Amino acid sequence: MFKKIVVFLIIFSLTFPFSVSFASPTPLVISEGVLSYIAYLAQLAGLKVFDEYSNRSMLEDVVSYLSVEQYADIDRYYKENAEIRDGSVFIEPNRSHIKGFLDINNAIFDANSAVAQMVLPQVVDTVYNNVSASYDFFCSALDVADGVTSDFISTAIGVGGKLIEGVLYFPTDSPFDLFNRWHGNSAIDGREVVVPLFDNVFPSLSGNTLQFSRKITSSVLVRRPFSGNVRNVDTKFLIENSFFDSSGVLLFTDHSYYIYSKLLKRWRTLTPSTSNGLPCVTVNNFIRTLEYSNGFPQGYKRELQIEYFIYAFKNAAARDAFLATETLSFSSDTADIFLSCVALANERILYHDEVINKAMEREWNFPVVPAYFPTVKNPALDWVLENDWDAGVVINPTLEQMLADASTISVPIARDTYSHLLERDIHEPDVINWGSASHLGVNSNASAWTQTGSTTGSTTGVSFWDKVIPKVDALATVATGFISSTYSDFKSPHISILDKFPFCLPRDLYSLFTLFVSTPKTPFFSVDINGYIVNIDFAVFEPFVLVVRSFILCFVVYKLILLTKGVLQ
Amino acid sequence: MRGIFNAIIEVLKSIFTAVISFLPDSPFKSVFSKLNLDTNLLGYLNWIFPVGEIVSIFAIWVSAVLAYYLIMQILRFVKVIK
Repeated sequence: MFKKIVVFLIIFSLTFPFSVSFASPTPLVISEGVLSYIAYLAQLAGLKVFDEYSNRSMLEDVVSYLSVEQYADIDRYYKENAEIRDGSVFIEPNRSHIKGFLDINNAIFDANSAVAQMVLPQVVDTVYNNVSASYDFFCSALDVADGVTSDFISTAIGVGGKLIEGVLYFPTDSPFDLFNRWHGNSAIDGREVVVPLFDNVFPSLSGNTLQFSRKITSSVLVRRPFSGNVRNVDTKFLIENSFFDSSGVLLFTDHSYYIYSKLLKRWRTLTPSTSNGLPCVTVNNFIRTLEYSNGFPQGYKRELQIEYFIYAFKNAAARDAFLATETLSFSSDTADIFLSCVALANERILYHDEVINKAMEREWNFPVVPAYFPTVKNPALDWVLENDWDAGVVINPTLEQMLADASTISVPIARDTYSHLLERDIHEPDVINWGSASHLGVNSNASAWTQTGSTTGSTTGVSFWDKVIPKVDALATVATGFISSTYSDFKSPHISILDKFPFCLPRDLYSLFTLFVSTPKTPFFSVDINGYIVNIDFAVFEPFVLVVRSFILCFVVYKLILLTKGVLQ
Repeated sequence: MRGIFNAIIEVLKSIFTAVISFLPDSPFKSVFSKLNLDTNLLGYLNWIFPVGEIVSIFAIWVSAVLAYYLIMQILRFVKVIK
């Protein structure tokens, strides 16, 4: 047997190109049909068949370094929501700006849990006549910190939930109309998040009004956030959602390209403090394009969004501190309220041409993106993105293409770069006494704020604060009553049989192996011998190790082929 | 008709969910989150031994085998094969 292997390896080595590197593994090409079904099954089992460990996001590694073991689910939240900006961890409210975890909220504040992490009240004022107020809360289902578990958390534990999410939508001009969605175990490690979907809410375009409605019943969503080589405010990233039906067939994908740039921050608005007002800073956050592939059932194919944040501060000093550092975090106590505004760019002009165009001129090292934004124009009031935008390009219509794009992305590991970050940078609880926004110093009579600078027209206007703040208070009030009385209205959280003993064992075994997966690192040692530093760098062996790795992989594949014959009998 | 089917599926799903909710959680999952293997050493190991690729290949192989057995069962059920 040993001789056969040696002969095989020798023969193979003669035909195998030595230049092939396995440092960045070849992606598994999975086409639609049966193979996609296999992938689907594997993903349901939590197997990262799409994952390439060398492409782990910078953020993921930073968070991994900062993780606190008993708060694993909270960490997942940070993975999706934290950013590194200038060496500081910046916790953003959820990028998906209409979300609420109201039930968790109640549990958190009833228990006054140490693990409570409150996302600042986030109010969304869209330009499509749909003012929505929402709050995001995240809490580990297993509240081990203080030993207090609310009924809600107990329920979540009882059904196997680890991170329970709910989404509540509160339209402005109607009685609180509740849409809700539950995710159970929805946060799965890795860049790909497999989300079981229940009642999905999707936007649809009706005339000039963007409406939210429940339209689609698919069974699973695979979320693939891609990031550029540098994950900071100068980069852009893509979130791709792939929607599968219950049989594993890809229904459609949507692509959201986010562009962050310091250039966008040049345009900001300061609101002078008044006796009843709050000093504010409006900061451009990102440009987002969203496109749906063919198969999206509503005929709504694309949109361009621009999101800007409005930070309201307790006082001018806090505002100035923010302007000096452009750093904002929950632990810094600089921001009192955070407002996120999203505008459809073709309906309201928020940005000056110069800003946009300079952002587009930046070097694109993101392999998927360059097909976009070939030109950006602003004739009169409407944005026009020529070429691809108007042509309605369908991106990655297949999983195969999706994987092919993903394979060319390389993200460096940030553990070393950001090793100076401490746990407290992201884990400082910011528990706010819920029930009213008044303690934040927010006054409903806040003065008007206006958009100034290089922009066309005004955005929200005088009534913005008057419109928003009562909603914040109302939401808090309604939420409290809602949780205590109508919890049963929610759908049951999703339960995965693969989390239950003994069905969990295959995945546990897989998880055990993945513990040993890491980014290949060339050994390098420094030894101090009587004051002389001796560096031992194994980089010289890199060509040989490439061959060794290749042989090992070939051997594994060879053994699996042989093993398959016996297994399939 | 669709509503009836959906209702049946919902009932079955509820029963299934209720049954499996009585099963205990994975006893090992929490252990994995607490393990903190030394990154440098793991990096060195992965440098010479392609753990990630092997795990990926193994995962897809297991998935393929499972799919094979599933498809075989279906084909047997419809009498395509014996």
